[in-house]
Amino acid sequence: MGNLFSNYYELASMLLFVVGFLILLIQRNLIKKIIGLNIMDTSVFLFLAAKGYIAGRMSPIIRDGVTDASRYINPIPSGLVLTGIVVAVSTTAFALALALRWYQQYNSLEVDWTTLKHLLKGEK
Amino acid sequence: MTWFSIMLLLFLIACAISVFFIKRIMNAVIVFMSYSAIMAVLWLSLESPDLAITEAAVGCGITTLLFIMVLKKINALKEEGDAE
Amino acid sequence: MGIISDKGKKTLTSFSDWVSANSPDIPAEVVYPPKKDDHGHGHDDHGHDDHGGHGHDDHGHDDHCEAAHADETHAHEEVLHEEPLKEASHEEPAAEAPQEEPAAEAVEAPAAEAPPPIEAPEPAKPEEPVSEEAKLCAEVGAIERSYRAVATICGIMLALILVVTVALLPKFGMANNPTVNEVSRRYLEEGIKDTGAVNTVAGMILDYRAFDTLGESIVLFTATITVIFLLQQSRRKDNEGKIGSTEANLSGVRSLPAKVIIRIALPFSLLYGIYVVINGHLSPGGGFSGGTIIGASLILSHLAFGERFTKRFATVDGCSKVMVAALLVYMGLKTYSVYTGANGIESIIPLGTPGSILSAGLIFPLNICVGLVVSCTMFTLYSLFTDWKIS
Repeated sequence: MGNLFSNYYELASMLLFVVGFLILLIQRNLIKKIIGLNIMDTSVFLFLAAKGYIAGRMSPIIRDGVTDASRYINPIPSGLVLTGIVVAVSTTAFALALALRWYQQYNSLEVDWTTLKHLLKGEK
Repeated sequence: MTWFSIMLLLFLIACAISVFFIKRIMNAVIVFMSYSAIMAVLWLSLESPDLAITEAAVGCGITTLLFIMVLKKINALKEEGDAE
Repeated sequence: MGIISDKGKKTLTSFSDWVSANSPDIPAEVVYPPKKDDHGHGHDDHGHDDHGGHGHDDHGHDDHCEAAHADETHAHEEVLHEEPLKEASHEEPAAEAPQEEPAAEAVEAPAAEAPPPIEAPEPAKPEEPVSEEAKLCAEVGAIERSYRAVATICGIMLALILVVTVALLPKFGMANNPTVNEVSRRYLEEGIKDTGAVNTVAGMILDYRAFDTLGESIVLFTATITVIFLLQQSRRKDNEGKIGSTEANLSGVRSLPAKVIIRIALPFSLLYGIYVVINGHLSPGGGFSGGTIIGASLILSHLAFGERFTKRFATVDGCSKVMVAALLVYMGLKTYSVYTGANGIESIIPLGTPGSILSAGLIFPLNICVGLVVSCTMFTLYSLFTDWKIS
């Protein structure tokens, strides 16, 4: 348990992941489910960015032509997360479009037993 | 700086948990917006300004806008206003 | 609640009566087959309009189910009032459906069993359908409660596992972490020589890992296409009817202060977005963030001045064409770069002096391509969600 509290960024991102996961599982409103998915996304990004951080170093933009690697933080997580954020938006938009179609079909955004019963009936 | 970051992280967790318990969807969306803004500040403190810019534009801007558009489409905003 | 329509309830009771009479082994809660003829009437009839009201109410539904027992008699009385009308309109299908049902399920089912639901006396009904529905409701409530409990336990277990993992991770912010390996050192030390980009992140995602970025852009494009497909139907209807757009959509928000503020802020945000895109190799930002800001500015102009103004320079079809063009340019440029790199041919594109705006070889045009794709994606998604109408 040595590094539990020195890794506070990672700890927070894990807790955020679990909270987002629980929102995704338990909440019955589709909008809230999508918010939970977004929270999970950002928590993973936070974890990645925290793994790339090195205390006391600068952002990976070469300053004054000094290419000494010991001056800058790790650029790889930044690059990975940068593309990930934008892809998260597109998945959110896709999920919201599906939610709108769900609303059109069932006149409700809830995933509860009423809509599930309709699903069972339509499945036949 | 450490305490500042820890405070922001605690705020993030509080935002996420309050999304769980808030009943009105509009409020949950607004809380998620503030969550994204705090996340942008955290990325700035992690020396990743690229991520901060992107998250500020995406999380606070586009995603929230899409959520609000959907809520407007399903008339949840009006009904919530009437319910009060 | 009024979920199961009257016909459904009747056949449901008759079927469960029939089941309990003929084969006592089958449990009484086999209620799914009778729903077939419920479906036969088309589920448009079961207008659960009450759900529109509950669209925002989240926890309300938990109680909704349990409160159903209390409300049921109430609800059923309301249903009874409307009954004669529905009875008259759906007489024939109700008569046909139950006959098909037992015949399909069991051949020896007496044909005389089926008719009773139709001529069933009115007072008999309020009791049994209520109990059936209540039973179903209680069952589903129990399932949901156990599901919630299991989900919470899973979440807590996951949290414990993850927290233990965090405790075993190397310490945060240390220079000797295994993530800080020779790859990042190479990117930082040789990156400016290889790519000419001052911003190492831009050099990484648009030169070393440009193929990955192409994949991400295609993901955006695919998501846009999918959303177009999902929300297409009503779009076409709008175009045909020419009445899809409301006045607010056409000419923007009514509020004057908002219009003035957006009018002032719009050029700056657009300019900032363009700055972030074309300075992607020099300063934080790049195609992804700058494209998002440009897309947000387009959305802002749509919000403030409406469709009539915005469609002069940005429409869904135009954005799709721009996206395809930008992706093709991206592919062409990277094909050239990969071809020359693989064959050891000297690229004719100069890397330039690091730090000046026309430097870093291909990163500058690639940033613009990515910015176009991202901004068009954002604007297209927004306008698709705006134009969509619940039919």
